[in-house]
Amino acid sequence: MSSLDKTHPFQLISIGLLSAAIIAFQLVLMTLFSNTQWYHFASMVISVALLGFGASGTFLTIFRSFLLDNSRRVITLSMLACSLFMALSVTLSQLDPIRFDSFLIFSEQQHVFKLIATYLVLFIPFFFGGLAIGVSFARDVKNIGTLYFANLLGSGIGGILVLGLFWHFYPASLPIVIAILPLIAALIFIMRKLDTFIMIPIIFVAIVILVLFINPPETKTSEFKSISQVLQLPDAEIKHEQPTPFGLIQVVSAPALRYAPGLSLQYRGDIPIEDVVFSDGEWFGPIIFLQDSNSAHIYDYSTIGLPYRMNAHQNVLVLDAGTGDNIAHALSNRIPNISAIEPNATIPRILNSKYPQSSVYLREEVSLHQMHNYTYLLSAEDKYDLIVMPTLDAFGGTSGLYALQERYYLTLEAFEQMWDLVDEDGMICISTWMDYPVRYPLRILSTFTELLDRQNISDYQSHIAAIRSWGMVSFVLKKTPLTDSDVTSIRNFASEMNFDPLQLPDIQPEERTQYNQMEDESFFTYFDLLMSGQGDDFIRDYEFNIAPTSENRPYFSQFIRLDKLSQLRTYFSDHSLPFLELGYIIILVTLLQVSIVAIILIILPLLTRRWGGSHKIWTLFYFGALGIGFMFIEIVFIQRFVLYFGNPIYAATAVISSILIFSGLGSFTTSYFIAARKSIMNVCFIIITFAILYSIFLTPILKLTINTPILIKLLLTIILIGPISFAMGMPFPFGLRLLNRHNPTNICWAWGINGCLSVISAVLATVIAVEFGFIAVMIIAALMYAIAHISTSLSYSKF
Amino acid sequence: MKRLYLLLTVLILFSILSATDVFESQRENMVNNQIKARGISHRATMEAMQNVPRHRFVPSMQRRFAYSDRPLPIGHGQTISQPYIVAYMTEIVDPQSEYRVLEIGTGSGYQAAVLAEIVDSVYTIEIIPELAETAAGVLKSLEYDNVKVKAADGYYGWEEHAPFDAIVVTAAAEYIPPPLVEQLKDGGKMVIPVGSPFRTQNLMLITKRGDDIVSRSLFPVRFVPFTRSE
Repeated sequence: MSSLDKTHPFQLISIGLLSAAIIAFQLVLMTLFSNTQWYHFASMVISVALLGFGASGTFLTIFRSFLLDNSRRVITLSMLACSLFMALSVTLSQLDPIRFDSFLIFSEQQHVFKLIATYLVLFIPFFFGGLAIGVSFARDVKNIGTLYFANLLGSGIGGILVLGLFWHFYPASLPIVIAILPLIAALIFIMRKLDTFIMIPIIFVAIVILVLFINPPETKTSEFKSISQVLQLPDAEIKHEQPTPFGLIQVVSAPALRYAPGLSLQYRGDIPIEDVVFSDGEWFGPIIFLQDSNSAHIYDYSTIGLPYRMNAHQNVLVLDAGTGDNIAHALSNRIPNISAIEPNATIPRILNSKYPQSSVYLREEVSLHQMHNYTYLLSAEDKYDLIVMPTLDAFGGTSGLYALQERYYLTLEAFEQMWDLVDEDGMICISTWMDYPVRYPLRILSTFTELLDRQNISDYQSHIAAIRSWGMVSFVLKKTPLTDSDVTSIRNFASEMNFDPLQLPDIQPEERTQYNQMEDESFFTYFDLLMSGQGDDFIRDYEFNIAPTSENRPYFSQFIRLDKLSQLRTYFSDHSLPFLELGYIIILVTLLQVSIVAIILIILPLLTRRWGGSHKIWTLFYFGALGIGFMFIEIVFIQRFVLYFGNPIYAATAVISSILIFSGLGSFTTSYFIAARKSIMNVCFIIITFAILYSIFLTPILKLTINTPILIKLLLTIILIGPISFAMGMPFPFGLRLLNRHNPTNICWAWGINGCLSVISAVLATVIAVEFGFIAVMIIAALMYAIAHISTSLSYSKF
Repeated sequence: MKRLYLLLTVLILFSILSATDVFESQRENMVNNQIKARGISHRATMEAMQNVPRHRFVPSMQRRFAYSDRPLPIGHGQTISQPYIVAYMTEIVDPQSEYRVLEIGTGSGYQAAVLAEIVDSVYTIEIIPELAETAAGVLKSLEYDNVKVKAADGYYGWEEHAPFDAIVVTAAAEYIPPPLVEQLKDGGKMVIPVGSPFRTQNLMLITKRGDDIVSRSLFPVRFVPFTRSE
């Protein structure tokens, strides 16, 4: 190796820039596919694309000698190829033969092939990026600590960088902007000695980026997304648009756009025309134009109006306020004090600036808290006489797209907080669309009954009221027993609107189906079982998971039970079953898919005849365990700190960047230590200890300090994340240096294994969290580092 | 040369006839296996499903799936419903020969054609002009003269031809438009499917009885009633 090839600051900077680009590109692709398809397909695509990393390791293993002998050109050309295909990713993936529609994947075979083609298009930049980094590591393993530091630090910065870019560029332009980074990385890498051969492709890639930047490609949203269908309406137009880290916010107006959820069939008035806000092409909420104070609100003609017919309220808390429809409803009922919680700062900002005459957030009765719903519940001290929750599910269902959305404000712990926040005579109101098979109403009810149990209240009948319309069910949970006046008000409201009482202290069976009948009345049987106090057996046996959710498993919209999957297939075809709970099905398919491909990529080098070397088993277990353990801890941290800070985007970015920066520092310091068996075992032991302690104490510590000022929170975050992340940055470079001493042929394979298992673990963590909770994810992370510890102890006993 | 032309003509004619035969036999299979076998017994509905060439209502790329047991995309984010759903929705409104029926959401025009086989007149409204035009063209080519197609907002119904004996709403929303309820005859029935485009699981039947409007949730499912195992 020449002096040009030794680790040089330019090399570190170029590795850092490339790493930043790769992380940023990954996040951008998720946004892009969330915008044009659905979020869960975004995860699917990204997981396969990241297998490019794993494939690069396999490629490196097979062609090691050639690649290392020409490492300088290989690294530079790989960076350039990464840049080029990043820039072209949108253009290529939107070509007609390649652009897929996720809704048609389960019904039209051609879209499966198109999906595969999309994988290949996105695979390429990750492959070349991984190759550049892998070759850099392989040719200079003794400085792996410094190189890995540059890699991790760059990745951390990439996360922060893209956050800023989200505000200023539309999704289709972002890959082009990010592609500049690997181009600059290539230039910096060869700066010390310019190579004419290399300059031509550099200029070519620069021209391509420039052309695409001036004339960016357009993306086409799936025709089955809400916004596509709404834009088909006559005179529909997009009035406002704002890219944000939360997603692309678009406001659409059309003369035919109306919103009156579950409207009573007795209603004979007009339904107001409204503009509608979409986030990433999905319905976010209507912009309710406030009528004069004497006009009733359209929600008064829906079951949603129930709590306002029971009582006059003074202090109302509106969770997940969104576009403010529930706030408008409260205002029309002359509520003097309304606290509104909305984590997405963009929505109130758009309403205030574009609709100043009718924005509910500008009304003096309304105080807005921009934070996560659950964070507010944990930190609030005010008392309310009514807490209003957003309507669950959607008319016709959401096909389970939100199955994997963490909804902490619907957990049992959240309802316990709400119980403490309502005053003596207060109530909590939640509405949901009726779904079939029934899931949402039953889960709400099981949560309510469990909550009452925890309050030592066994007389559920006296505290729970519910009414049902042709499409919706609204529940009221009252802190004190329902009075005769309450019951009369509910019955009168129901009768007036042609709704049916579903639950009252003295409910008669015939009342339930006077106006809204059901062919299959088993819903009432299930309902009564839960109300009877003997619901545990029913919950255990029901085909869907309707048990209350918890902080540990906050997936309120996830109902599928893996043990009942084959049974469900007999009721619903393979064509229909995915749409019952699309989000979870997609993740399971993704897990299977990436696992198969990852195994192939890991096994492939083993089949290479010339590949020999010792410690293969150790390499597989050690680097595989690191890949899983690191990702699992990162995911748990993101979840917990999102709640802590109350803002998902900033919290996730802060956590990811902190983890990567501190682990980068840890990696850097490994240069000052001998890479030996004992070093690895000690570091792994430290990580295991932290992981176990955090599985028990992290959430309580965060909850205890949730009301502290933001600076204290930031300091605490560094204290909590810093040390473990620092330690987590050490095992990988230590392991590579060990390999370099005893079996350098395994290095590339180690890189590939680590990459593949990281990809699998991103998806696997989600499945484990859904099935067993986040504590299990942390425990398994500890187990992974225990595997790394034990495998090192057993394999390298001679070190 | 003449013999070659003759041979070619015979071959083309044979292909056309074969295709026609294939569609007819597919239609017969559809009626037997997807409709009758699942309990549809309304004679007029079954005859209508047998007569209406469903394959004429789907895009050419989808034609080979026209008689499959599933919905199909027809463009503009819309679908043609699964054959069983069309049959069920037809049967459930109990169409009679003298009926005047309103359809909201013409889509492909297939449901309108099935209804037109049975009832006196069908008035169908489609908000997407391109779909309305295509459907109207297909209906006209098949000589369904008792179907009137309008490109308009279905919210307002079709007042000049009200009241209607039955209303079929295929383009459902989160509310049932009050004008439609107004335009339903006393004793009339309105049917609305509920569910995602590829997963219609539930049908809603609305019946007007004087001042009361009664709804009924129906569950064709897949289509075995979803019951818990004992």
